Amino acid sequence: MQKKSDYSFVACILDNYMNTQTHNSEHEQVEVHTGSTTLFGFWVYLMTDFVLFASLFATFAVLRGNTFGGPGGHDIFDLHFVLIETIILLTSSFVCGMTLLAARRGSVPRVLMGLVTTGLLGATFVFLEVSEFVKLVASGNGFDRSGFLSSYFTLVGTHGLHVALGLVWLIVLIGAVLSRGLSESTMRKLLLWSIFWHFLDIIWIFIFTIVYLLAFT
Amino acid sequence: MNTKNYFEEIGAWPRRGGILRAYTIGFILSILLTLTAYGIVVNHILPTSFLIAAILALACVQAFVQIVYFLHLGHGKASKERLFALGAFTFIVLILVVGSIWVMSHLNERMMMSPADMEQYMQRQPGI
Repeated sequence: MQKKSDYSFVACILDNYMNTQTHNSEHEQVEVHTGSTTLFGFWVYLMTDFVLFASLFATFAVLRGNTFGGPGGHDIFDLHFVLIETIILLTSSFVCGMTLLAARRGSVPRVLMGLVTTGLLGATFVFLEVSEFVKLVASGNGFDRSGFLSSYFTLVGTHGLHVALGLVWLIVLIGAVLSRGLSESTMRKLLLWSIFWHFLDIIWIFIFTIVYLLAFT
Repeated sequence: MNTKNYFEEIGAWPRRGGILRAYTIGFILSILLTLTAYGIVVNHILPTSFLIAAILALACVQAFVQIVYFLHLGHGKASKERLFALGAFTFIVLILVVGSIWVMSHLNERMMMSPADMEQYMQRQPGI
């Protein structure tokens, strides 16, 4: 008896691994378990990213006064511009949530609409950030100007790179929704991507506050 | 297979629903907190040290709001382990950030001498 249940447990895992579908209640339990484990695993990855950003924030906090005779934050930042960036990223985070709700309701067109809207807002954000970088480098205030600017470009650039990767992931997701519909694996990917996207918005709150607002206090 | 309740089944969303409400509340609160922080800095309403404390506090509140209303952390069994991981990593991050700032600002303080003072200081220290 014991052996038999052990065996069926292994069979369930194998089934699950090979992505076959059975309508056996035990199998569904394993399936549910797998989804939660994937979610937790992804969460742990995000926590390591959290530590990465924390070390960049610590570096920035230490170096923000070291301008080496160059400009400080209040000389080169435009708060109004950054506020617009912030609102755009925040709105894309909200639309991302609406996309998940559409997936929950099983509406493929709405999911696609949500993904495209989130993507456009995210692309606008990246475009604004890159144009700010280009402007700074063109005016001679590149990453090599001072310790302050090195840490600024590293911190904000790493965040921008994450957002850009999130956009690539989003394009892949559009492909998955188009080809496979809202299958379980698509739902799982949508969920993980949405958590990544919300996480990036939370990191941005601190960039907005510590990098930009703090320069004007 | 029916994927309608997938988010609830794996514990990412609470079973009692109210997700649309959560996202809307989170969005409105985040906008208000962002505009408040922006407003008090632009208009310089508070003395500098209070201003810094206020915007840091507003950022932490907004992070909390988004963790609760966007990431739906804090309900159900599955969110407990994520909450625990977040707590543990927040502890590490605080040591990392506060420790770095503390150590480096002390180092700066000790190094902030004029060249003449530094010369005198060096002469008084036989080991250097």
